[in-house]
Amino acid sequence: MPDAVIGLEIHLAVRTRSKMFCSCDATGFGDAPNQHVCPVCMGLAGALPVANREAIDRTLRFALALDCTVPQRTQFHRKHYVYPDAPKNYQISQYDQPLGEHGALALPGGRRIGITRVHLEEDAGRLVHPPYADHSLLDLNRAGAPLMEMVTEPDLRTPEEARAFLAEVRAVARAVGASDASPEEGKMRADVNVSLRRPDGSFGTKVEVKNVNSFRSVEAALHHEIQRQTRLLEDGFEVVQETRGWNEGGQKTVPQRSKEAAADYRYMPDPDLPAIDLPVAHVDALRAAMPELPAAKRARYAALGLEPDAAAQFAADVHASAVFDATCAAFDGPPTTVANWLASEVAGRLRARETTLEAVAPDPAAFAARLADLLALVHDRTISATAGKEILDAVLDGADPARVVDERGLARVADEGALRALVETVMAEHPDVVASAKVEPKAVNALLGRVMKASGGAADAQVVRRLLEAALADDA
Amino acid sequence: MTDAELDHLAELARLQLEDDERDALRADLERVLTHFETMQAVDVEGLEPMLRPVHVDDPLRDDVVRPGLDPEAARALARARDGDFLRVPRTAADDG
Repeated sequence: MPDAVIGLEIHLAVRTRSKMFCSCDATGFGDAPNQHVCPVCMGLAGALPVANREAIDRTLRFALALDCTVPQRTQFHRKHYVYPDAPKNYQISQYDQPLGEHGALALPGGRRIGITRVHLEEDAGRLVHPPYADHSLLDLNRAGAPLMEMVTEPDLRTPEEARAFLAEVRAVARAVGASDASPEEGKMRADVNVSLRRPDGSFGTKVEVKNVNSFRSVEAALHHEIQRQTRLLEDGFEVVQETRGWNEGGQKTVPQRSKEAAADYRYMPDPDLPAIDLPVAHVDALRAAMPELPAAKRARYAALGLEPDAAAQFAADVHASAVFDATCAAFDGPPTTVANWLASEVAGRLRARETTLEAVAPDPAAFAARLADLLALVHDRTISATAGKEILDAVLDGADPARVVDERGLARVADEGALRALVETVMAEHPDVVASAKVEPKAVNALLGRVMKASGGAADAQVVRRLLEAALADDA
Repeated sequence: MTDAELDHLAELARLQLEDDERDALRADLERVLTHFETMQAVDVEGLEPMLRPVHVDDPLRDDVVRPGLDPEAARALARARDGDFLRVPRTAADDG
């Protein structure tokens, strides 16, 4: 397969309460259509936009996290196009003074991908197309919501790399609080540019695939597009420069009708919006308050001995890493124990409940304190690991572990006298298992399991094993 | 100004020009363009463009939600509606 040259244009909804240029609620995308509108975001004559300070600061944080150069002054431009999702017949966007330029973001493997620019603009309305109707339907709740656009250099080489890059962008956007970056909510959308490198090294004709709305679709669309272009060139055809769309059902790219015959956006400085100074002191303060970024977190977790997968998983998720860090701080045992419990036991229960850590543990510190208590009980052998797993559900629901242990009588029984009685009872009840255990030493595990069950998980398994082995030897 | 340029401008402005309007409009536009050409002749080398007559310090607002239009009043402004949606010209093929 020939070398592919891939660039991405990524749109991310900025995490603010109000819209970009008016005070309408920017969080009500799912509410009744046209619920959150005003003269500004409806484009009514005479309405004046005023820019949202928080949207600018969050976009600046994102740009700084991507190692961008930030200007000392920025401004907004009008980008003109006529389409029903744009009430003013232009979109307020940025042109030659974006909030960030000349940045880079490293893939988890270390290769740096150039970031051409990061700018801030307003989102369009949402169009719905009822089947076979002669009209479309418009909802302006999203119109005017703040939207960041980041453009990469054509530095990506494979579909897998593009997907990994998107995951890293999402992790960075969430880490700095710039965006929820959730493709499933439409808060992260990508356009993909791809061409094949010619044998002489020059870039081939570029094709753009628009509105690919999941990481998996980006990877699939690139695979399909690379294959399509390869076949065209092998068969002696040329690749036509065009915009295509991704057909999710057919898993293929298809030619798209263009919005306007020839894009002629007639950018002009928006006369309604004064230029905005970005004082060096302000930008420095944002830089100083920058949280730890996913790459640094991954390195720190790897140094703690975490497996690469677990390190990547926690580093990509602000909430999971907050829980992990706080639990490690409160727990006097190895961080790998915390990681194992979070990645298998906790994650498994969340999956079974079809919920998220954020929903179950909105306050990471409070949950971490309870989890650390639970791990300490297991670690200092107050309760068995089996008992620990048994009460995890209650701990997820907010219970204090020590109290659950008391209530359910789960404290580990290591007293030999009590356990010996239990061992004798179980052996008397299962003479067949005893018989096979005398021939096949591994069968002792079957007896061990029955004793543990009889004790409600509270028995000290090591003591039980020793007692069982001694009893079997005496009996022989 | 060529016919093609005039057509392109009309398309961008969403204007449907009648034949008898074209010549008058072309003459107006050419006068505008000539005026700009005159201004283009001025040497502005080294000068920063002045996009606005006054500079405003901190022209930003805080991220606070305030009530907008009453939703029903807002929807009533549309030429056509469909429930809570506004009805607009079809923009997608009939592919569901």
